[in-house]
Amino acid sequence: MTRVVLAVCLLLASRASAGDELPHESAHRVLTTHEFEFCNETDEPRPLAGDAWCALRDEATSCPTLGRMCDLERPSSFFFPGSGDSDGEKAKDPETKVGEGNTSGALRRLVPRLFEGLSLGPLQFVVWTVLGLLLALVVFFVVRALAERRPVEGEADPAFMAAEHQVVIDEGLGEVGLLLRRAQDASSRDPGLALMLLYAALLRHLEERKLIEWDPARTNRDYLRAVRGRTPLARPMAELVREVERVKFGQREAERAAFDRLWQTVAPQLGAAALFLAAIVGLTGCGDPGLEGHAAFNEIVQAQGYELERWSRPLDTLGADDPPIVLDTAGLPLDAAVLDTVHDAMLGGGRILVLASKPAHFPSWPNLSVINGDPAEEPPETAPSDDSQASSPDEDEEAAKVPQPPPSWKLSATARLPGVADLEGRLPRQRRFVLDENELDPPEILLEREGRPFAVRWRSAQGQVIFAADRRLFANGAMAVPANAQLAMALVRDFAGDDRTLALASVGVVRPPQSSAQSLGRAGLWLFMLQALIALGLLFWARGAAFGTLRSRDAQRRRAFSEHVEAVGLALERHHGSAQAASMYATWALERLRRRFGRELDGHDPAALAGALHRALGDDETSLLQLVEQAEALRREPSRPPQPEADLAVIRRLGRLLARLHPDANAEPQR
Amino acid sequence: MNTIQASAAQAPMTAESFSDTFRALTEAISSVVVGQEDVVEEVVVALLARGHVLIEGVPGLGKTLLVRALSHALSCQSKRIQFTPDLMPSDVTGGNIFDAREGRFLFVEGPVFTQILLADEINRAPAKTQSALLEAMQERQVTIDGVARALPAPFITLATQNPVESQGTYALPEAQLDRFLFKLVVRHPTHDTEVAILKLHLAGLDPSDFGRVGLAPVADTATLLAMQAFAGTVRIDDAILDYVVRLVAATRTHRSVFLGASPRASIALLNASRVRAAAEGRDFVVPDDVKDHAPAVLRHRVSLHPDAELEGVSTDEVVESLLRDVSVPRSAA
Repeated sequence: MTRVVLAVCLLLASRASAGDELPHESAHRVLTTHEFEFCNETDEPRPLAGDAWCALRDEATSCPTLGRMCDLERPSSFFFPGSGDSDGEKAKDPETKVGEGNTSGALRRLVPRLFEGLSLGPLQFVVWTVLGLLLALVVFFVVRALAERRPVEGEADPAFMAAEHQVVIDEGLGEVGLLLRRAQDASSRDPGLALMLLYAALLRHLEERKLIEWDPARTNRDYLRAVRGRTPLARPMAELVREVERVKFGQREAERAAFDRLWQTVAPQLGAAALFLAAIVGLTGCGDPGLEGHAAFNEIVQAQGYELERWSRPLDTLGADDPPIVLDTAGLPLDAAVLDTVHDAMLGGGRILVLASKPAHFPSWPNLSVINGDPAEEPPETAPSDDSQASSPDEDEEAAKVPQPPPSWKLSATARLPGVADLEGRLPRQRRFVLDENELDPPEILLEREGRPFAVRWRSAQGQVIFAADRRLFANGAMAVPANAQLAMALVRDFAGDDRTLALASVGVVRPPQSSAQSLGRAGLWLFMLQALIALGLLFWARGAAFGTLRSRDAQRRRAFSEHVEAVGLALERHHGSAQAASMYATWALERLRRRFGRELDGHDPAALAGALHRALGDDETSLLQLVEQAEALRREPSRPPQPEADLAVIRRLGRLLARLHPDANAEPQR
Repeated sequence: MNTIQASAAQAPMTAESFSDTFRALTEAISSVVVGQEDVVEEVVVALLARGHVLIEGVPGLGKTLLVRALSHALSCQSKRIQFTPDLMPSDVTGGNIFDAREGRFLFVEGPVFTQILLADEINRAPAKTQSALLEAMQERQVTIDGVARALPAPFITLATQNPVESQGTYALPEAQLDRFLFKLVVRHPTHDTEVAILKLHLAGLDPSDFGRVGLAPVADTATLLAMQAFAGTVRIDDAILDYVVRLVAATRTHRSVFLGASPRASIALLNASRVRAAAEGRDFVVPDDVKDHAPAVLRHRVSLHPDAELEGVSTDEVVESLLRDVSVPRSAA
């Protein structure tokens, strides 16, 4: 899954076009693409974070439908977006009929809803619990299937390999879409590789549907036999197999026409799952295209000619030669230790743009603190009231009911940020900095809000640190206002200087979690873990001790053999065959002893074995020699008259010897 | 001469013509050897791979009929030797006999001088007599009194043995077993198959006159030799070679195996796979060709540990487990 996300990220990133357009033009172009549904889907219900942005509806000229989104009632139920509305209310806007005849729209709405923050209403708790249990069951069965899989010598894992092309794709694919895309990419330059990738995608697709069971020892025809009559893919698969084998084993040149023909037959049938996966990835994964994410900012930066990369090293390794870093602190505590590290990195020549999130997460540094402003200045938390949604022919009257951003939402640049001094941005909430007036080393103020600093900069000899009081200046929602995009880009330009590469970092990367618990906490996985543990507990309770026990294909056979040995032993006992039993045990014990001292022994000389035992255990050598001789005699004469007492004494002495040499083994016979 | 034979003689052998002839041959033989299609196919593969076949089965399952049908369909000469405890090597190979009238030794060919040799119940003869076949099977010649005499081409030995009887038999030594390309196991026919056999006999099946049941020659010696030559040109990818070697090497390390297969087994597997590929109209080998023939090639070349035999493990089970465990070459990317 991670790889798919990465691949789609790369695809999205590769779409960025570097042109000579202004930042607000880039913002308009980026936000009108389909990924940013809050800007393009008229029936998109407003997410939880949407309320704060709605006051900007009139200024969001880069985001044509943000206003319409705000007109919709935010869904009050997990399963039924907008279910709190009556039918009449939903139909107020003739262009926004939620959930009517628009299945794909409903799906797109549902999927991101699944990944939204946890606000646990009773129904949501039940739904999450059920989903968690189902997921835990899936994980359990996958883990068990993997555990029961026998490792095969010489086969590291079921990876698809094409030795000629040196292409290796990991086993954990599940990525039919990625394989198809790679096949399509390769079709023009290497049809042979494209065919093999198409076949790999087909196999993966069939495996996901339990039509085949992947096994490195199975051949293509084994798979063909497995799917025959069970899927319409069987016939094209046979043709694909023929073509692939002709190329792979027959060393023939693959023809583009053959690939195209097979592609048209096979790919559409694999596409549904891949498209669904891509839809999920597109909606929830890369770049976070929601209102609070900053996928739009990433693309705008790239459109302005910057290259983005991911910063993955500790922050204290940052130096003057490294690219400037944009450090997003979303949802993570930016504590004193991290700020000390930032300070040290700046002194070392590093350049860091810190995007602050919650004030509580931002301790003073140095003599700097963040306030939320006057709560009285905050806009109403909820979206426009029911009254404001009432359909009215008089649009002016309706517009008058829409909350307007308060003056304190204005962002303006100071003279230190050239070229944008006449612009006024808009950002929800009044978050800004409070500076200690007695500060000996006051920072440069780059952006202001209500006469207070919003973005400030400290410099060292080579390094610099810029703090922005609210990360939301870079959020997708902010980019909907053209002036915000221009201010953000002006900040980036001033920050990066001549450098055309920006590195993106999060506190989680810069300062990794110190423990598994911290990692789980940061990822918000505690609830899921709790559900998984409950599920595993239920499974353990249901399946008993056998649950989790390793199984072997040969268990039945081993059991048959042990039963056979037991039967032989009982038969010998019934027939008073102690001599035979003693002979067998002596043979076995001598063999084990000789293996133990294999390198030291010279053939089957009893004296040599006794000597080796003497050196290993320190026992009397004569006594040991006598025992070995007795054991040899027992071994040689299985049919002599039985002497149960004497035989048992020898067996016990041999058993004790073995037990001393192999402490882990219970070598002494039980009967 | 039918059309297939004519076209094969005139046109160069291709994978398609090979496949057509192969199919015609096996279908023709299977029309009289009912219910043994797999055995028939394996025998023809062995013939085209220049190998020999050891057939294990109780008497009365049509082994002699198979040989006769094969020789008839191929227009080849066939002979049969009934191995008995008192059979001498010269009874197999022939020998020099003094001609009193001409006052010199004359060489009288034994039954081994044929194209298709049926060595019936081969394990009833002592090792000395069995060994008389070693040179014939391996080098396709017989050396008598220092003179090497070539056997006619093609030459194939179809030996049979009864798996049930052990009294008065001599187990074939490993060296002899290794000379057989395949060991095939013939099992009792099913009910329907047996009914079909009876109907065939009611229709007048006579092994000395197959024409009565409509079995006509399908190919001649020249066609057969051309097919053998073509099989030698079938391409084998290095990955397939690696698979063959890994498969055979795995027999040497299997926990139930006392003695694994030799490199001759690898060669045998390779040759059989090439014929299989050509029989399916391909001029390259795929892993399935190898897997299909692995049991027949390997089952008589591995010796089991006594404790494995005690557990009831069979060589077929060992080979099956190897086929399950050894990874095949990937054809997906």
